[in-house]
Amino acid sequence: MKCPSCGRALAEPVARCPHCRLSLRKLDLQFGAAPRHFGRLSDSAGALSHADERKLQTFLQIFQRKFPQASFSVFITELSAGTAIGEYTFWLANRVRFGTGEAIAEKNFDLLLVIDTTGAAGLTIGYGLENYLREEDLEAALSAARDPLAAKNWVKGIELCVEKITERMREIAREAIPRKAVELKTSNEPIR
Amino acid sequence: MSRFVRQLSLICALALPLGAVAEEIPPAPANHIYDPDFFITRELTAQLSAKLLQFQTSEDFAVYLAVYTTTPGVIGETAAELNSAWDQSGYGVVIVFVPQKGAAYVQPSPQLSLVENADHLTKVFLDAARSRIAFGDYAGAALSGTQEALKSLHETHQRLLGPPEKPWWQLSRGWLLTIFTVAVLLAVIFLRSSARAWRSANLFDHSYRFREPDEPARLRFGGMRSGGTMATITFRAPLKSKDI
Repeated sequence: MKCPSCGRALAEPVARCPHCRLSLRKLDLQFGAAPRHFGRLSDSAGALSHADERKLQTFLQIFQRKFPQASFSVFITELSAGTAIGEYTFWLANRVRFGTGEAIAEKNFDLLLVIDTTGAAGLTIGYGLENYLREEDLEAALSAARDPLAAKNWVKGIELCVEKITERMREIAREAIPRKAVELKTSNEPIR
Repeated sequence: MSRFVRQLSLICALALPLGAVAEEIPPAPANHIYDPDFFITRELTAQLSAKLLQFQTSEDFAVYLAVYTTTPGVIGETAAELNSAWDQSGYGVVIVFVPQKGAAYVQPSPQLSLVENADHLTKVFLDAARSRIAFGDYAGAALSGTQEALKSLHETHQRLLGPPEKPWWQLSRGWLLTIFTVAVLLAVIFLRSSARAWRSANLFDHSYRFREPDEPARLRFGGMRSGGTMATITFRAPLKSKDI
């Protein structure tokens, strides 16, 4: 695990980064009131047309049908100069109600993609997905979206990112299913 | 007196046969060809007659060909008289052909002459016949001249009737294009909605579930939902100062 601000590795979960003193409370003071967000997609930068928004909403809806526990949300904004995309993404993922409100801690399987239209993007996951997706998976998804995002083709960039994550999560889920089936068989637990 | 009577008797004797010749108009020939001097061979007569009869059937008016060594009167008048005598319906054409003189006159009926000019038809006939006349092929001249005249008459007749009425299923190109475009649009809309329904139905891509961790998450930095596991990229220079 790493600090979302300074990027240094941490041996233990901490309430505050021992290197840069980052905490959610500190970010609250930095960013102020949480922005408004509805559904799976917010575009406070006005980068998307109405048709694009509908297209992406459908796309994100399909993602959730494939992974009913998870919700993939996208937040497009224009950050002021000097704002670190990592800090903002971390703060947003915890302060804005993405996906289902009850999904906290290990029950949170949500993903959040934050796009700063001035030239940065961050992709973060809830605690529940940490056992399945690694930082390399998230980096691969963002790398796939880099070129369209650089060309300001937000829709294409988001779609590529979601597709890459979908592909990876499907692989992981397929690997996990047989293991789960064996465990359920031995424990006589009802299949969910 | 006797001299006067003798002269009068002589004049009458000379004039009587001329008058009889002038007034003699033969009946309409059944095969539509009047050729008392046999300029046209029997084979060509049969061939040409078939064409004229067929023309009458298809166009609904008759064309007669009269071939003379010499006409009883002026050629145009002879043609008009024959036309009047042979064509009872008011429509029809009489072609008077004097091959040895290289003369012809095509006389349309009064009704037809409103739309078809006699001079024009005559020119058509003679243009086609002239070369054969020069070689003394009078039968061939009659055949080719008549054929061209029939062709011209057919075109005139078609022009008078107007374009044939199209059946309802033979639509214009514009309508066909419109129908095709609408069909393509409908197909696209149908396929698009089908594809959307297909994807929404999730028929072949079942949903996946992940097992929740057995142990409670160890929260980091005070975040209840996310511990900051993330990736970031910059896709345009300059980089942000605190970006990872």
